[in-house]
Amino acid sequence: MERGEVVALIGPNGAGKSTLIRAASGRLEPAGGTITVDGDRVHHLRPELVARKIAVVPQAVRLPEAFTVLDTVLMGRTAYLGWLGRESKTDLEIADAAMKRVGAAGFGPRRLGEISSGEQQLVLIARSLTQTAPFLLMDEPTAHLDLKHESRILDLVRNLAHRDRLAVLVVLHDLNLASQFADRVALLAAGELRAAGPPAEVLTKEHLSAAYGVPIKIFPHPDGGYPVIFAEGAKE
Amino acid sequence: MRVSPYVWCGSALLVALLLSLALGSEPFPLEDIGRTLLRGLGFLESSPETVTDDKIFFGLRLPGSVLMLLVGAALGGSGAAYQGLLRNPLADPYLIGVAPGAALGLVSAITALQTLSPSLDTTTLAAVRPVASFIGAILTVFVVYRIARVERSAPVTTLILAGVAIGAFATALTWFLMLQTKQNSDRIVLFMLGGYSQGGWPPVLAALPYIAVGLIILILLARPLNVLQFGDEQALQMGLPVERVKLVLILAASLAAAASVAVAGIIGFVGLVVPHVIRILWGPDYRHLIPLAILTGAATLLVADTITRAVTSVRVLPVGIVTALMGVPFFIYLLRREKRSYW
Repeated sequence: MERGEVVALIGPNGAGKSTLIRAASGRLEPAGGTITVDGDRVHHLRPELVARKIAVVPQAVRLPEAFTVLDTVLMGRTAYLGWLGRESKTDLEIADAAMKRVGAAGFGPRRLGEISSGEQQLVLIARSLTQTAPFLLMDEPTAHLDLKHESRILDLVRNLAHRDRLAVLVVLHDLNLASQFADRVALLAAGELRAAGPPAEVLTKEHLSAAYGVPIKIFPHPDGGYPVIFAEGAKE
Repeated sequence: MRVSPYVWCGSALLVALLLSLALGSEPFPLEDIGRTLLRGLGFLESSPETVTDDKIFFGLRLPGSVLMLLVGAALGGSGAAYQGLLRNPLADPYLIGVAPGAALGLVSAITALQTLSPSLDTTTLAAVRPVASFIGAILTVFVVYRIARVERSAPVTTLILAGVAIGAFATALTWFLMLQTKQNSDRIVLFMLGGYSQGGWPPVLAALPYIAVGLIILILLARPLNVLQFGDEQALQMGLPVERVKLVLILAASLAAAASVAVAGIIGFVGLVVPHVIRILWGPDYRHLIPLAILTGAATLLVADTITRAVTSVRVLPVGIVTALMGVPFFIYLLRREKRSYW
């Protein structure tokens, strides 16, 4: 992966998308092959060293509702604080900047249980930004979100890659979102990489129907020309 | 003006301590406590008529109160830590088998020692108690963890199920050993339901180092405990060495809890409810929750013990019964009042 690009990871359920994210964050040992970051094998690095290189935004999860947004965002600094560290003024500034960056400035004193799930997702992104890691992994960041929050978050993801020069790997279930927002797409099926490249090259009838096992119809989008994908047969 | 929670909990502890020193079979009015303390420190001359008072105060009343303070602190602090570690509001030293394991370790060690050398002096026994409890607690935690383990970590539900099962097993063995050795039944009831028989300073000195070390580690590791509230996977992704942090936290909490079992038996409820009360009133941040639960746990047990000593109609009243009778209604009131999620 290169800094400055959004790579969408797509594939059917059980293809190994979340497993790849877990392996890339050092949580699981790869059964074959290696995952390296700046030349070091992720699985051999201590957790705090991995966390300084790779930040993960988890899939929609139940959060401890009584914690405040600011405390949550500050926890992203764990990799720099160690076991006994206390947050410094610098850590606080980094957290404030991260909240501003995702459009959650002023959320600080609110509790996680008092904000919407879209806002919670923004908070988790802000937390991952305080890790100041060059690589950002996101597992279904738009799951269960409405259209407005969906596009807001994906715009932010693109912005983080293109403007802040982060390398962003984002697992997406919705092929059309991958088509619309990603610079490159990687298609996983049955645990192996089937295709990788620009959306127009990966999101083809042949690749997708083979991977998903359903007939696929593809149209070019009237505005951008990027592929719009449907599974065939729903209304026949 | 908003009063700091530390002021509330600190004052509660101070009041509870004074009540505990003042009330009992031999009442000490407040000004007498002051004068007795000054005599003890050598600022006032003692006279023949104060000698008996001083003996009761320094030999029985003061160590008894300090012991309850220590045990309450250990239960409050370790209860808060277990709830955070297991991310489960039901967790307390019972639930993962720590208290029953400590009791079993203690009773088997004492039984073995008394059988091997019946002439052992009480000071040695007092020193052995916390060590035997801690070994029993740690072995139990280890067995529970091994049973509950799936691949590399132990899911909370299986951990609790294994803890309850092994805890019941350990409790049954403890009862068996105690009844087998034909001990004084009052002592058995006191031990199994929580309480102490006036032992002076030896139990205090025996438990103090373990409880202090355990609680200090818990206070220092409160920030990592906060991070663990987001789940093991997220904590690891934020850079926390999850398994090692959890191991240290379990050891520290078990050290404090086991030492409290060693000197005061199995006192229920304080470790479960005190942390919840703090959480409802002041939020879930363990950097404050742990110290506040320590202060409040100490205050709660002192009050319960004072009430226990004041009720004279019952021959032996385990303090554990009073902690439950006193605290549960208060807890239900708080729980019903609080509509917002506090966990």
